[in-house]
Amino acid sequence: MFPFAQIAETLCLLCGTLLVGKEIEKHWHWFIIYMLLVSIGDWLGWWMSGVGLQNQLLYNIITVLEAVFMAYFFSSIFPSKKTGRYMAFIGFACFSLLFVSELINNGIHKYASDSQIFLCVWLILVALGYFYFLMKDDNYVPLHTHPEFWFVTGVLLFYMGSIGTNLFFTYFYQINIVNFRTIIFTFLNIILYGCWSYAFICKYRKRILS
Amino acid sequence: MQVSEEDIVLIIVTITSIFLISGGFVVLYISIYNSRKHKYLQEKQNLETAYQKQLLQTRLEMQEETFSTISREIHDNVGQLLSLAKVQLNIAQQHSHTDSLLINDIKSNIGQAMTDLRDIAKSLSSERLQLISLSQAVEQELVRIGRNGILSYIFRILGEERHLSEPRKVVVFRIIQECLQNILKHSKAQEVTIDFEFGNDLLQVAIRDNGIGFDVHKSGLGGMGLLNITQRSELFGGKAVIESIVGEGTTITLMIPYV
Repeated sequence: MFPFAQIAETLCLLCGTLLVGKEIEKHWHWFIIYMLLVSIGDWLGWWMSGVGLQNQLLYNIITVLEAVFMAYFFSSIFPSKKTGRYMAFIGFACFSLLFVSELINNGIHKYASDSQIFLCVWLILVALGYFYFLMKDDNYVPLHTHPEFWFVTGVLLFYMGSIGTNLFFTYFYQINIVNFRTIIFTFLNIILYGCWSYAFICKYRKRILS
Repeated sequence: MQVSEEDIVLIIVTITSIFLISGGFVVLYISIYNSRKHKYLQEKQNLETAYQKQLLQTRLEMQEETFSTISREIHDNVGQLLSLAKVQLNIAQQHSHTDSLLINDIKSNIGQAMTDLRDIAKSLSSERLQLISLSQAVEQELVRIGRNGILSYIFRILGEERHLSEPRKVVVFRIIQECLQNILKHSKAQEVTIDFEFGNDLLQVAIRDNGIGFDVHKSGLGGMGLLNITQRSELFGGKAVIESIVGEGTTITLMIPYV
């Protein structure tokens, strides 16, 4: 299948490198590094699937990377630092336990779909928590130009959209509708990377205007 | 029961759509809530500004009232008593053998006190201010200050004098008075220059002195009644710009719109 998602991801990475490369805040630099690793991983996964190789181990590694990065980034941008750290730490600890137990039970070459479902639920809750604290804040934040808001929006839409697909993960392979899953994920990836690219633009504008 | 491939696709599409739309609604709700918060905060700020304005206006009205009372008291009471004292001294000079030089001295002192009191009464009275123009009132104030011999002055008017509403006139006059008081108290200046420039939409008054100056950033606007000057200027949509160089003097520029 044509790599729409990978192209969107690479464009987002380019956007991030050009726009927030000079950012002082460390977590934005890690964001670029994360994007680079995930992008390499996704292109590799696309190539492997094209030549008929199993890429589930690769996606297990990407899932761990995703969990580590999300925990770190959310704890850095959360309006209430203490709550953000708790949510990130507890969520990550539970994810790690589940992931390890899944690997022990199923082996490393089987996709850890339960951990992925947990990751979705956890990140949806963290994103909603972020919005709750944003609403609770007495100060007004112009959301249309707030980079963190667009990052979280992308996360919320992507994980809310992907939860259904992840719940039915085993069916995709049983009844052989893997392409249908790819279509959904391509669509969700375009939303996610669209939001993140816009977050980079907002961050850049914020930096040059300050 | 066997679930067909189409059914599973339909279920997944439905669940994904519902979740995605719910996410979209959450984001939309946050955006609407945030814009309402913005409106609310703006309204709150507007109300606060209006309240502060009202408070300042009331304070100024009360101050004007007090000034008028003091002015009337000086004119009707203290002034009368001094006049009576002067008359009594004249009588005493005619009927007794006291040192006439001393009595003349006392008479001259009382005369000076009466002139000063009259000047103070004039400068405090806002009723009197209604009878003359702003530039005339400022010039009279400069003459009064110049009489002490501490401060010389230059007074210039550019453009044709325009009418200012009474409350505006009183406020501008009080600001200029405050500036002159500051110059006398703190600046150690020998000369003050006041320039009136009547523009198309606003009156610009520049009050310059050649005193010791001060660091505007260091002192902030809290001291020397500077905050008072700024706030009063803003009361009628105007502005006060305070510039000062240590050792070179201070310039306060008032920009007051006519309406």
